[in-house]
Amino acid sequence: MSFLLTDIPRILPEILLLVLALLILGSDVFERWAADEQAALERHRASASLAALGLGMIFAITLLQSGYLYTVPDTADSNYFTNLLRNLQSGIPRGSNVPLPVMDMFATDHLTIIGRLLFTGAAFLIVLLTYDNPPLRNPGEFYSLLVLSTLGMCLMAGATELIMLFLAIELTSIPLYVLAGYFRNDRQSVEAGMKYFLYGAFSSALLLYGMSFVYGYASSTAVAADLTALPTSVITSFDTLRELIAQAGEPAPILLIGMLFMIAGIGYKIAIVPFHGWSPDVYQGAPTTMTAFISTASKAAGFFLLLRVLDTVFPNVVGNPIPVFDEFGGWTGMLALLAALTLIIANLAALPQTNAKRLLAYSGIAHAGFLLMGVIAQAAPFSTDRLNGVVALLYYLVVYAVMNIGAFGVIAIVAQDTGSDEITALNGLAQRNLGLAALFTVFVFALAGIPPLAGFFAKFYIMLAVWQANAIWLVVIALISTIPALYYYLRLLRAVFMMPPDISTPMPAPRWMMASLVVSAVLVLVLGLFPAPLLDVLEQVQVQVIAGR
Amino acid sequence: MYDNYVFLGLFLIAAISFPVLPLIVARLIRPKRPTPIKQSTYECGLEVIGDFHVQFKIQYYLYALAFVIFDIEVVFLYPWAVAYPELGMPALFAMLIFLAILAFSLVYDWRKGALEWI
Repeated sequence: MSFLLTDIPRILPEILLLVLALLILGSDVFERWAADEQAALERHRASASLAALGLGMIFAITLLQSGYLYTVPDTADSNYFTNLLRNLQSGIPRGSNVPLPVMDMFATDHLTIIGRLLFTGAAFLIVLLTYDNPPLRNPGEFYSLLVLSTLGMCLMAGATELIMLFLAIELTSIPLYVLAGYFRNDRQSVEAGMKYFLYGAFSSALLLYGMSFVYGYASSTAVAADLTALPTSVITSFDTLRELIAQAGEPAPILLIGMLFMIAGIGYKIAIVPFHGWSPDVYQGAPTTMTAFISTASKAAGFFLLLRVLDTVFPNVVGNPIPVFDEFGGWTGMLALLAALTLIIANLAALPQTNAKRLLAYSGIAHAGFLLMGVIAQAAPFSTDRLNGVVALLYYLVVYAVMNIGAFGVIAIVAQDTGSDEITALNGLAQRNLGLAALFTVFVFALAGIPPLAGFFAKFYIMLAVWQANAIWLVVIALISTIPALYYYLRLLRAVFMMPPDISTPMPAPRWMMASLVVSAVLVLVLGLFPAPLLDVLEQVQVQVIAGR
Repeated sequence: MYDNYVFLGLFLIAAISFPVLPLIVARLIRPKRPTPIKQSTYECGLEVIGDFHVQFKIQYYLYALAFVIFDIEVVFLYPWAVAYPELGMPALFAMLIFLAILAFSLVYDWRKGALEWI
């Protein structure tokens, strides 16, 4: 299908992200080196403000375009603004009426829009966190890589075709490899970049390998059914793949192997056990703000992808070898096992950690276990009288992004002051800066899942969805796993409130970093106390996912 | 249908035994007389000097990268030029955007001094 001019408003956020990345790079091109410290700081601030403004605008445009806030009624007077908004909102889904993907490659459905909002919002908060950093060597490169990675994530959320999916993953990952190793004079950062790159390349290879099996299986089905008229580019689209797989009847082992490889490839990106080995090292070594980005936005993008791939390509793949998981067919049994393993291993491995970033890395793996439970629950047969996994999963992703960015942000401020990201660096934070300590408490309580913060409701919805899908054993494991989690989260707070500080001077908290943290904390509170508006929006994604089955 | 997978299994066994078997055989038949000098770490027969975290000159790689960019440009331009009569105006604009991004990358390389040999 060829590209139409009317498709341009549908992919406007992606186009704007690309333009923004080039603008940031271009704004930094004129001088090779900053003349002195002051000039370097000004260049850093210029690039950071450009990135923050741009991302904020793109977030606002996407929100306006989505129609979640306001939809132009058909009866409205047509003046300039209503016309503009109507044009922007054309081609955007209304309820369960979802337009066809752009060029058979990129869907602009509810899932994509939620993804765009989540990724640009997270990137915006991260850019605010980096604003007060010591000046970077090439700020233009840094921020344009960040924006390009965000663009890749948006494409990941919307990809409806194998090649697009792979390119989107690469566009997300390659900038992140560079960003993880951005402090090239810092050994840990270089090691993090290198490790992330090697593991990422390996996981991409696994994913491609699995894709080749799935594609081969589907196209041989097409040949057998005398559908040779189908061009290659059509077979790779998710919908065609699903139909061809369904036509073939009982899935052959080769398809299951392909699916397994694809899940393993995506499993690396979202860091679930047993594909989690890279994440503590990378999270610890990478610049803290980038750790916040990798652990939230990149992980969320992986889950969007996993949701779409499993749901649109493999909904019919059944044949579950493990009788315990009878409630689910096919991949759900395997994912349930992985989720249980992830919850147990990550929460136990987090207990002896002494480095705060490493501890949060393991906590991030444990959260991936919860998120995986949401993926499983949404696959259970749908009924209207219960919470579906899609809503629980997406709510969890949004909440997790906000609270994790906040927690890493506090650690970034502390590390900037003390030069250390060990837990002992947090000692006596309450005496040195009470406001920061209070914010940290909010984020850590949210991560631990203490009501009334959003983290509690996120966990609650996920468990409710899984419970209603009849996987009670999984809920029990999840509940038990929150006990060690509570212990290691409280260790962080013990350092903050009960340990004496090494130096008792007040800790400076840079303005924009604090702004980002306050926004995150307010979101954690508001999403916990008033989750209904967000849940209503997410409900539409669920309607669309159910309609797509 | 499952007959085909027998070949796959055979390949798997062959692929695993190909590296593993020589190692096992070598272990069984080789004499083992370790000395401290034999067991020391070495690098192409030489003694190790310094640390493995070394910085090397990146200049060559920058050249190689810039070359790859324009290599890819040519790879895309040829099929585009051949298919142009069928694709028409939209393809022209798409290619212009692509070329503009590449040209921008060249300007960036040039301004940042990646094209100067130090």
